[in-house]
Amino acid sequence: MQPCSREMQGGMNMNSLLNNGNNNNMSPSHHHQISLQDLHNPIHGSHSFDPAAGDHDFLDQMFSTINPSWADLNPAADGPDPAPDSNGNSIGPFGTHFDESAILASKLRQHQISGGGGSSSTSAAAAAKALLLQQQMLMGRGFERSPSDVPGVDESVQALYNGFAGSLHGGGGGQLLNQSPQFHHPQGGTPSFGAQGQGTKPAPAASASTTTASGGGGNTTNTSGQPRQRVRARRGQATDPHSIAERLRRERIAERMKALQELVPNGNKTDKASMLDEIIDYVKFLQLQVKVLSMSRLGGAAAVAPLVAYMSSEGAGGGDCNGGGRNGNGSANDSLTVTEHQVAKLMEEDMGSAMQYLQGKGLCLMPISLATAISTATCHSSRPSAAAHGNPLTASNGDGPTSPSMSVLTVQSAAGANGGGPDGSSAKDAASVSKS
Amino acid sequence: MKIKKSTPLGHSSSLPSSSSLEIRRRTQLIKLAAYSSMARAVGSRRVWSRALILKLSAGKRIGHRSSISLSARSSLRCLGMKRKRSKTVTKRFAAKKRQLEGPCPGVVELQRLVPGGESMDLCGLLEETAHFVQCLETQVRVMRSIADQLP
Repeated sequence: MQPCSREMQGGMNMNSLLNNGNNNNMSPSHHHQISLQDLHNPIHGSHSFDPAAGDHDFLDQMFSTINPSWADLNPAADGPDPAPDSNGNSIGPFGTHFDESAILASKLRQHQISGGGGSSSTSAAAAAKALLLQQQMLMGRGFERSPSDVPGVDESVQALYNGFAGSLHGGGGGQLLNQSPQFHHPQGGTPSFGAQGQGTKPAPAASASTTTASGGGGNTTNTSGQPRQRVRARRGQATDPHSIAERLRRERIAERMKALQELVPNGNKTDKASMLDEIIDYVKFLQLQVKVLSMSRLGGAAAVAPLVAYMSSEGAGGGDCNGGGRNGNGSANDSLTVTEHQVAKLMEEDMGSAMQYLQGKGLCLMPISLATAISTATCHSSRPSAAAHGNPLTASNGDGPTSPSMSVLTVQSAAGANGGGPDGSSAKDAASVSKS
Repeated sequence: MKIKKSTPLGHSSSLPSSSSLEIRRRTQLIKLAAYSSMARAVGSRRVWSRALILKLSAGKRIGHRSSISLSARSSLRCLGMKRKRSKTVTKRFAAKKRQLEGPCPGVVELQRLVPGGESMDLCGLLEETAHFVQCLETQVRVMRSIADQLP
């Protein structure tokens, strides 16, 4: 009840204003009063209507009662009042409140423009009418929308404010000044119920990040009529230019990280730091691929051995081995031997654990026949020995079938094959770069 | 894609067995050819390609070993005056920002990986990285198809 009463007060003020203003005019005054009373009636009626269907009816009523007065307000035109039916028809098909308010705003603007040359009281009356309409619509929205819907209300409210305030400013800044105190009161009254507890005064400030040209209109109309451009911040964020720049920067970084996420495989990490690590690993992997491809045709296991050393030393958590070079080769051989022994031991107990151990190192098991097939197909080896060196880029992790007749792929290092191994199958591990 | 005439890829298989040093030298040559062709294909459109071109040309003039140490300096020196000013300004600003908030160690690592990345802030660095990754992938595909076609 209370909001309605306050609105009634505002309406009363408007009514008195309009009456005063209209008494100066000639004929349409009576009609104005009637139309205003008609306006007030829907207010009473709006309490009880159900939210589902009542909204359009309410607005249609409003439009039908108002529109005759619009025509009267226009000082130039003196035509007969259009029938409410036609008005209703013309307005009927509007689906959304936003459209209606936008059309109303544009109509108001037109009237302002056309009526700007008229007497001051007329334009004031027009503006007052506009504000009254705005209040009505706000109230209608406020009554039938749930509080959860308020952001939508804010947007439309913001649009309304922009529209009306803009036209107010554009129309007659000086003329309205003396009436602005009264306007302020109804405007102050509306936020209390228009936004269901959230002030629309701060809410228009908070709803959009930038306003239209007359952004200062969202503020009180008490300010002088110069339109001021101000950037509105989102709710809960400062308008400090530094923080705005900071926010922009963060947004740019976020969108670039998203683009990179799509490029890099395994890019499903949500954490920025882990995403960065993935990116770094991927770049390193690509550069390594280029390096390996540049040596793949040069032949000789010697070319591949430094790579093997690098990979196995990495797999062994190589803090003490350097990848590549003579030293690396030697220590890689040692680590390879260690790995080989380890794998042999594991294979005795359980094939699965051996496979897992190898997989953890990024290596795989492969039948010798397949290995020889691959080696003869892809690489030419100058050594006549049947050493098969796999192409390090074949990521065949988890490929090997678990059969007892399987053997491990052998790689001969430049330092000479470490023959040995049980049953003539020198179990040197195959280096396969696995990128899974 | 420009085809480098100096690429020794075609000659590799015909030579007899060579020492590992020779192999390593040739590998390095091939790798440099790959990178320079990649950078030249991109041209001056990207920061990393410009930095790569400068590094490679400086390296070719002076000698491969010292090219890496000279890369940063030469990339700054050889740029035009306007570029240099903007680049040093960006570098100074980036440095100041780094002092202010200290980037995570991943950023430093990435700057080292991507050529020309030292003088970029995180925002530009990420963009350069994306383009660099795309070009690297294409390069790998090209090289692999070349290697597959060789006998």
